[in-house]
Amino acid sequence: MASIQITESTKSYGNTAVLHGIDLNIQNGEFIVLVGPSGCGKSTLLRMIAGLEEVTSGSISINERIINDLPPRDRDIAMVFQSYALYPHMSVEENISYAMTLRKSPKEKIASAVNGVSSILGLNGLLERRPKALSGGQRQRVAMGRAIVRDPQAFLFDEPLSNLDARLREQMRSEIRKLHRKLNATSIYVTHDQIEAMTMADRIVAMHDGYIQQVGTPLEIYDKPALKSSHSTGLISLKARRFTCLTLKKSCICLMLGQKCGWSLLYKFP
Amino acid sequence: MAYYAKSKGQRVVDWSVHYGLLACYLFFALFPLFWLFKVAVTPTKLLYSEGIRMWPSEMTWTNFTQVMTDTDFPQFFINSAIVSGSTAFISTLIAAAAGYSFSRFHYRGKAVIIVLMLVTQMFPLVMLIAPIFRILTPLGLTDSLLGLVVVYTAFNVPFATFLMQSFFDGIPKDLEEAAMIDGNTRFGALVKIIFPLTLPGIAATLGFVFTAAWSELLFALMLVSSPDAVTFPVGLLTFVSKFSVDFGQMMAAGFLALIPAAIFFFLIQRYLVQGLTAGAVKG
Ligand SMILES: Nc1ncnc2c1ncn2[C@@H]1O[C@H](COP(=O)(O)OP(=O)(O)O)[C@@H](O)[C@H]1O
Ligand SMILES: [Mg+2]
Repeated sequence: MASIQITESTKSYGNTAVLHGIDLNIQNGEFIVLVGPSGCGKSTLLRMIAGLEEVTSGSISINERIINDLPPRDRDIAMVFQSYALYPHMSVEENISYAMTLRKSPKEKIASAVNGVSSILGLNGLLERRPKALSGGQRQRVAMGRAIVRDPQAFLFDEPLSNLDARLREQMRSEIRKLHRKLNATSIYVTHDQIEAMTMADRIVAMHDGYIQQVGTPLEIYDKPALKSSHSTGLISLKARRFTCLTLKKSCICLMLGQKCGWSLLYKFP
Repeated sequence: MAYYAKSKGQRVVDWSVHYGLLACYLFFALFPLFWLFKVAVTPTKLLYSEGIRMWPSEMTWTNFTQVMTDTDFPQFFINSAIVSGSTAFISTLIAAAAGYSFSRFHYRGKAVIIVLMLVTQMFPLVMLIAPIFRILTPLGLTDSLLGLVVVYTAFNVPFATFLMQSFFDGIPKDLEEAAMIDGNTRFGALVKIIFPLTLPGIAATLGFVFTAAWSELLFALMLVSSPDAVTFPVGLLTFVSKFSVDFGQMMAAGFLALIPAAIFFFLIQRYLVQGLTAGAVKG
């Protein structure tokens, strides 16, 4: 469990600046969604937090400790890749337990952790299989399992659902939220899909062209979209699609008014 | 691949064309080998007297036994095996390291190095023999197996590097990044994750370099004169004397020379089978 502070961080590749002065404070246990059009620097920011990209200037800290120079393996962070990045020559079980094996956890502990994770994610019958014998949805679950088995300080997700079909995506969205409620681990979730952002986030970070344009809860962003961000991130298109959000105590039900088919329940979250 | 329902006749035609073409290719590729073997088992006295026949009326192994006992061929084989094996091993090691760096890292001078490596491949080897001989002589590397290994390695590394790079390019970067987040160092990720997936590439590179070194004649002929360091392609020439060519023994030696290469490929062939990376990423 961790809080993450990003202070005046920039990133340049050679002379091209990709991120300009990012400032962001993430609370312990928060589910943050980075949203913005493709190429705006979401993945780059996430990879800087993971330690896969160097920070050009500024600092990133976890629990108040600056980690700019810490290699990925020492940051105790888990990441789910868009491509899943499962190890093709290992079984599902080996994929999930790999991080624990590397840390030389005792065998019994690994076995019980793998068991726990696979029953949460419904992977029980698949442990012996290789990734290539799995469907897209199953691979996605293995990737999730590989992340949660480690019980890390924070989870990073880089568009983890974009390779799934619409129905599966919706199902996984709610499962990821459920998991978050259960584990309550700090999570940063990257997407370019504003529905995903609206339905999943505790707080949304709207990005454009390497700048953060707005930070706020889904309702704040929906009610008062910053002018620029509303254009750029397309959050206003939620309005264009005639979304209506109702607040019921702390819960909110987002309803989408389809052009023809009337009201349909889009999503529900507490 | 998409499956289309086809009529039975259509399938028979497809099948015949498919296997017909394969058979033509196999015949073309294997007939010389057959002929090599046929001449090797033909007794010398029948070689010219029988005319052209697919199989001699009488068969003999004497050519083989003579090559093994009366000539220096066992020594030539050992020399060739040492030179080719070392060259294959060293070249592949260097090529794997260089190919990985080309595939994964960006650094100043990378483009220059790649162009230089391409340039080295542009010259006909004949042009380079004199300078190379001149360089190796003071180093005491002429007339030695080590000299051959050095030269072969130098000439095979560029191509082998490009080969290895293309294999590394085929392995998604996400995999080693995932492994690094999971707790590996970059080198650990390379050894534990990338290396097992590159085995087909390593096998192909080993095979390529091994065969290139195994059959190399020009440098072996020019750089080596003492019998201790003669490799088998040069050794084959000893059957050509001023007045005659001992075809029987030459073919027998040639046939024997195929065996190590065949064993080598037999050992690596299961790694040559591709498809190990399937399922790494979506698609
Ligand atoms: N290795 C790199 N070298 C140069 N430019 C890069 C590199 N990686 C990403 N970029 C650039 O950085 C910008 C942000 O990329 P990215 O973070 O992947 O965007 P997003 O994930 O929001 O789609 C893009 O314009 C991209 O071209
Ligand atoms: Mg991205």
